[in-house]
Amino acid sequence: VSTASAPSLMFVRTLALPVRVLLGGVLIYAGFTKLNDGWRFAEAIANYRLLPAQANQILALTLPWLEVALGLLLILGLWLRAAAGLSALLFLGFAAAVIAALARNLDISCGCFGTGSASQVGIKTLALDLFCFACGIVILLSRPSDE
Amino acid sequence: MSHPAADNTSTAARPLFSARDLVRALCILALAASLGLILNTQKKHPVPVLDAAGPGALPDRAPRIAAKELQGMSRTTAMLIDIREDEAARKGRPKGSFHAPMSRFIETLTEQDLIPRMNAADIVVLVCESADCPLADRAYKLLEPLKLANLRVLDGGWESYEKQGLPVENDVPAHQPVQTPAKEAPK
Repeated sequence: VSTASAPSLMFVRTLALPVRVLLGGVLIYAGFTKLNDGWRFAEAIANYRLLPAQANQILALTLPWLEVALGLLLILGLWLRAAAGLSALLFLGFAAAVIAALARNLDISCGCFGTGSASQVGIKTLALDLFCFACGIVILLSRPSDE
Repeated sequence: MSHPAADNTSTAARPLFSARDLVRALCILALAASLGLILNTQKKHPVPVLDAAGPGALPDRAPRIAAKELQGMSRTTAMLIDIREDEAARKGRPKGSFHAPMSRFIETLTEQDLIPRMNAADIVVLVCESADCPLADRAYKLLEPLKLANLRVLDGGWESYEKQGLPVENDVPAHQPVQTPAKEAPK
């Protein structure tokens, strides 16, 4: 290890715990708000006009549980690299969907924190997704030992 | 006890995402998908899965009305319902319109007793933000059982309404409807 990279690795490691709790909390909250509203969440996904109806239905049933599972793993510190990598990938996917909606000037609600939430797809949604993506990357870069 | 330097070296040598991590990630995905799909079957109203016409399908494009057609129509003839969320509606909305944001659409219509007014109006126009507005198509679909004589979506939404120079208001709290002249007490 070069002497230059050691302090930055230390910094990332110090940052990793609060980031894990923050990202885990966001994921658990986002998952719980959608767990019992598969019908409306499928519609919210469909509004992005990216996938066929069948894929929207499967995503609507899977995504909330995936978010809850990833959140719990991140907070409990289990399978950290897998959970962080998957979270980063998930938020990168969300960001891509938001960019696609913004590029087509779609007037839709983001569906991020349940279908009852009033947040429209916009720059704020994109910023949140990119922030969460960065959090996942920070956890991954801290190279947690979860053997 | 391992030397810190040695520990750093071994940590750095570890790949960011190993094959084991990939297997674990796939396990998490499989667990989430299984939970979601299995628990869905236990629900009273399960989400239809792999149904092309199910809840994940986009609604058909609702019939439109151009903003210029609203010019000259009084609010007694045309009942405008702004389905945009509070944040957007606070910046301005069609004068005399009712505000029923899509996140609580049916609840607002019921709470504010708007359905009898909709039945009485000659034309009901749903207003969303822009030209591409699947939410308005969804709202149209929700209102279909009411069998309203004339239900339309405003073509181009609020953007087109504003561009047309039609009357606007922006000093009314977004959640409060403005009374239509026809329903006001006689003077």
